[in-house]
Amino acid sequence: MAWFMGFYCYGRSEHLVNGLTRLVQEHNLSKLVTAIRVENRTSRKAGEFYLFIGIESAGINDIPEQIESSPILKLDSLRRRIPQQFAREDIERLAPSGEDIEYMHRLRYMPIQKAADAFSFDSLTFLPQITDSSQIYKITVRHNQLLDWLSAIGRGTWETFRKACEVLELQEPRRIIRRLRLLGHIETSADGLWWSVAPTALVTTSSHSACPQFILCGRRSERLIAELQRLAAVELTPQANGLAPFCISLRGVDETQISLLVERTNISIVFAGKASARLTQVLPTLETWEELLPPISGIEPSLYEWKTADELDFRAVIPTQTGMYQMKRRSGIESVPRTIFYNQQRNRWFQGDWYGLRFLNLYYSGETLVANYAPAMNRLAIPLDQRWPEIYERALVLASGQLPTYQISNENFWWLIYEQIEPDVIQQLTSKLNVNLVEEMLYA
Amino acid sequence: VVNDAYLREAKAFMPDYRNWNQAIAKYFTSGVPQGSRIYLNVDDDVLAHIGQNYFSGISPRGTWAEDFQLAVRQRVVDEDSIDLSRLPLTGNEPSGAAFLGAMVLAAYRMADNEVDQVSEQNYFRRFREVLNLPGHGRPLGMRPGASAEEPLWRSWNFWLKRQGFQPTARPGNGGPTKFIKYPISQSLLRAGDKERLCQLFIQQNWRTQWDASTLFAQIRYRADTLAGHLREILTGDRQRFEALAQAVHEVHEQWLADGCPSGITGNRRTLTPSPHLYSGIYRIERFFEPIYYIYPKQPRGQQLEHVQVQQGSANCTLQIERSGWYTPAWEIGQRELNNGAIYSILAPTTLKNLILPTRDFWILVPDIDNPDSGEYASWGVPSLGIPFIILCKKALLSDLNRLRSERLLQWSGEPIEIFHNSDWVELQNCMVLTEAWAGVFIGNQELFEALRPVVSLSINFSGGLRVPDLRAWLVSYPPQIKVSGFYLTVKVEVRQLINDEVAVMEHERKTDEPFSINLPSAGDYLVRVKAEDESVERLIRIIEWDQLAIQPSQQYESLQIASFQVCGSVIQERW
Repeated sequence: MAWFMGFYCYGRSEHLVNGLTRLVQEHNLSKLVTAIRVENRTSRKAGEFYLFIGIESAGINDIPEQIESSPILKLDSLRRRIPQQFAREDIERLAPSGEDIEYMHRLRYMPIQKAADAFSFDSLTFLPQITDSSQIYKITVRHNQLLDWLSAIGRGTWETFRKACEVLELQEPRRIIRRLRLLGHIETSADGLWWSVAPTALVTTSSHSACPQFILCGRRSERLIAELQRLAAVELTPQANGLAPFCISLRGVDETQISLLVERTNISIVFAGKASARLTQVLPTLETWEELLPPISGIEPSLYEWKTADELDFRAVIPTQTGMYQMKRRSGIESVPRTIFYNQQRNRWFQGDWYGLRFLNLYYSGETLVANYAPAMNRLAIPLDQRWPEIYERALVLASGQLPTYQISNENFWWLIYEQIEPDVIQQLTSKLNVNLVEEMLYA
Repeated sequence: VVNDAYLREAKAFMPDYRNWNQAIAKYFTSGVPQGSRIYLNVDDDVLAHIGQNYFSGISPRGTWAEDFQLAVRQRVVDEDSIDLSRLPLTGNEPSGAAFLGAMVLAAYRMADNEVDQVSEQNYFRRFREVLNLPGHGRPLGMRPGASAEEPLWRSWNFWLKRQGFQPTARPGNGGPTKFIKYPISQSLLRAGDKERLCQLFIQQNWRTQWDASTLFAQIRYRADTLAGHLREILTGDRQRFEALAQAVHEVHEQWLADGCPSGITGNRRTLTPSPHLYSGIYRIERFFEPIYYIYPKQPRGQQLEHVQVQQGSANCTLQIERSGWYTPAWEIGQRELNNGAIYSILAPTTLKNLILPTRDFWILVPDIDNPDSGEYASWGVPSLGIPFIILCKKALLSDLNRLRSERLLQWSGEPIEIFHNSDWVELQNCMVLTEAWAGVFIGNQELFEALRPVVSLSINFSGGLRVPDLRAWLVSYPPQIKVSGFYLTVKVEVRQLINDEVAVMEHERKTDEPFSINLPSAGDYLVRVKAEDESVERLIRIIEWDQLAIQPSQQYESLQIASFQVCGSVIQERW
């Protein structure tokens, strides 16, 4: 119970307060003497004042033995005790302008800050920093550690993923998780709340060699890689700019040998076959893909502020045109902007991956969508600002197990370059996405 | 560590000391959330429960308590003395759990007047009865306590820490009762307390199926009207309240299950496990809006791996998510929060209902071991210095504003209304700022008790790369440490536990300021924080990268495209 003792004092109040503070600290009394309040009424004679000591004890006027036995109450200045006891309300009335000197430590209030979304109109174009090979190696190792750790956890929330990236000093976690999805390592829930590492799988790449080449996707560990190294020639290749874990490829091994390894080690491995071609086959047209995107129901546009790529600020204007928008709450909740798409004809709001929505925006705005393909090299180039929806891009990345590289053309346009893309795959994908395919290299 | 196969085998024959030892260790740590304070609260009811669930239905000698006592006696009693060298301190098992349980059983059987005047004489009279030892005072072979039972208590405490729990067994301050305070600190409710509680239920006609914290708040409110040891524990050490609330709830559940008998016959039935599971709430944000799930708690002392619950027309299988909890089951809305909910349990048949209690507020805290995950749930009382969420009815806002104006509690922003036009609001980033809660009064006593801090000092870990299954962090990525407490500075010691404790660091630190420590290699480290006369400890386990194993879980996110399911590089036709 908290209550106050009152004293009639004479002298300089700051000296008395300093002396009391020292005694409270020396005698470890901060839990029993909670505060001191000095009345600073100017109407009294100079040097006269009331002082109140806050006590925490079992009952009112029950002075704890530790205080009794300390020198505090024996101070000359505190000889004249006021016989009554006071509650907090009394003190506020008697010494209204006084300030508490507190001895009981209060915790520092530290609220959690919400993280902003990585993808916004303000960071439309991402260009990786070119770094030297030792730098690339170091970053790759950290991405590798991230995937090993994720594989050991199996599944978690977006926040867990973001924090792990922060611990490993990996920048821009939204982009990292996107790259891991492109590489077939990870999958996320439609609402972006959850991630899970995909099953361990061996994907057959589009190699022209007689002996099949596999790349390792999904869950992995140091132990698994060591087991595979005993069985086959395992190559660890850094991704472009070190922006993802090593691409692990296996040569000189067939499915039977891998099956024996699975039996011996009890590690589950799936043969995913030519994942690029399989995925290409099952992917729908762009229009159907749009229909599959998860709708957002219950949006009341007037509760939000809106922004398009062409605008600098959020405005309280309700969107009426088909397109991609950023929205944030007008007031109340601390709000981080969200990117969504509005199809005016169907009066439908939906969400999707950022590049996918941008691609859809380009499509609806009548932009010419292009891709260049060099059949002799099985190499595909896509303009950087026309990056494909993520699931279509995954079909390209799984062809080689390598993320695209970035190249600049003579006309100063940036292109994304994908390797080992088979003609059939590119024919099907460009047709589904309404992209004009040009079979020559224009940029280099 | 505690071998299930061994326990199953034990069912086929009369359980010996090792069977009891394993069963006791398992009982007190099963269905209990990580980080919980564990009390080795052995009493006749607990022994009956262990006997029925871990061995066979009927006790070979009449009562399970008698069987237990005999098993302990056969192991440690040598003529008229006790030989504790038969309980080795090495190995992965806490070999003394059953013996220490017998010590707690003696404390449980002490009468009220013996507890009021605790003496070695009183305590060891009961202890000798438990082990059928003639004579009086501390038995031969247990002198002095510092080299007899104390190493066993320390070993039990250490084992609990390694399992991720908080030990609670502590010695007294000194004098002749120093060592008997260990078992006394573990006994929660005595036989007399249970009877008094039943009398209170009868008197108040408490036939409502409350959850543990609601019931406990009701009882604490009336603590002054109760007598003896019960009143003492209801107004005493707040750190025991969570475990005590659980023990009191079990008594109430039994009273309800018995049909709310209106008299105490003296032949109280042995406590049987509750036929109900209780649900907390799990909260996560979807596009910055909170969503809530039914979050079933596991029954204490049991490990029911799969529970089938009927939810509307669907059957839902609850699976264990973590120690003490099943996975979040299904989303709930305003109706369930307002009225609570009862769902039928289809299997196992020993269970009847899954109950979401009707409450005016929920306190949702982040995962203590993974505070950055963005998940909040009814994982227990708020930790000092860690922001939490209060989900409550608007009617409680005046109480909460009063706590804020007294500078006891802080939150950020305005209360956020959830479920359009509902009676419920969320207060985010809540933090308790001080422990000087005495003298402040609000209307809702349960809310007051739920928010009032139970400790003055706590060690919080955040960040690092944690591997939950191994309860460890990866080498080079240990957690950051933050000490929160009502002290300005504290003394922090970090010791590596090899064969003995090796000091890694000793520093004075300011509270509320996170700091990093360099843990040189894989191993167990004990973080000990001291301030004035208080001390708290937590264990950090560090592992090497090559100890990471692929998570075998089959729970995968996937993309559905027409009749195909895409998961990473694996594309399969759904059937």
